[in-house]
Amino acid sequence: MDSANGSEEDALWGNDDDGGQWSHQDLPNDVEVLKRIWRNEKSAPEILGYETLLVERVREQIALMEENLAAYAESLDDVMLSLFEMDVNRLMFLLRAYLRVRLSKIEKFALHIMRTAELWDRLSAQEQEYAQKFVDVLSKHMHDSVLGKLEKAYDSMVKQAASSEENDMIVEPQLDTYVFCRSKTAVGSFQLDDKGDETVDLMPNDLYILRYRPVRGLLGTDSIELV
Amino acid sequence: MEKMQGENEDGQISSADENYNGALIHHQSILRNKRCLLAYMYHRANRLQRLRWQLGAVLPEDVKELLHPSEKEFVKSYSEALSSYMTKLDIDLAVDITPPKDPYIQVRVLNNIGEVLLGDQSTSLVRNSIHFVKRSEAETLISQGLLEEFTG
Repeated sequence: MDSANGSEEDALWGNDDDGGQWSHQDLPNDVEVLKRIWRNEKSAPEILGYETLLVERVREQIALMEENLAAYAESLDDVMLSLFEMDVNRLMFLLRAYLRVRLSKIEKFALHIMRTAELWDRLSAQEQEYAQKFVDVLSKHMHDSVLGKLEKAYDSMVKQAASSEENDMIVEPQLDTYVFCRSKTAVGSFQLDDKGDETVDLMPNDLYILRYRPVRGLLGTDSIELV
Repeated sequence: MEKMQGENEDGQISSADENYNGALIHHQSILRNKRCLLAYMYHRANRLQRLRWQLGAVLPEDVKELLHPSEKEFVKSYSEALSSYMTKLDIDLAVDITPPKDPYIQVRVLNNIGEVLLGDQSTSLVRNSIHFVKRSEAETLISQGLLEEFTG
């Protein structure tokens, strides 16, 4: 969101970092943050935490931008108008894409998320409702079409047979897939394996391809980002 | 099944063994059939979900007649769950599947629709006419199949 200097455009953008300073280099712009969060969510095999505050801020910003756009509609010429409109559209796209990626992961791993408290907490309240409804809808469909016609011992959607010891038909995300990640800070020597065999030196701004499982923790502390 | 396995723990061949092997094969084949059936239904359900995202809440007739009744129920309830989630958030998630390059888009009209309210002006959409409209308005009409994107 860098626009030219000019008091009209400044007023239109309603800056999101502190008091009117155009210091884009030091403070991460909300748009940049959203882009990064979206990219992380896209590349990660499991669902990551829901960024409530960020989403709230972005939505406020979009509303503000649209208001300003409507207010300034006459005083700016068509080209500028369409540029600002395009910016609003692209921001909306980012937000929608982020929510869509999360929804698709929820749909894929709904049963697993519901039984793992840590993952369940990563969902927003509306997503939790949606996950519950989705599981209900899917299990009703499966029961009506297939499972209802089978014997009692075999009619569970989560267990192969009543004699299975645990719920073995639940899909789990593959945490051992490889992901591209870029390290943001120098973490130094990082152990990839429990046996201590492989260590990787993580220097800032280096690109790596690693298995997802060991770097999960680093993703949480924001020392790396997925590409 | 478990009882039979328990009885034969000492590994000696006895007359119960003959039944055990037969029962085991029967059990495993039931499991395999169950998994195949569920995989088939699940795969179909996934296709239906994708259709919902592409086409919107109403399915075309020729798809509807290919569905099992419980699939029709599934589509309805899935669509409801999805739209209730979207209204709670107040964002329509089905538009903008690809990043928009332009706020305006050129579209060609496929069927005669007559007068439609586009933006602030109502334009009459005659077949094969080309219009320059805003993306957001074009998207709903495109997903219904009334317009198509005009490229070059």
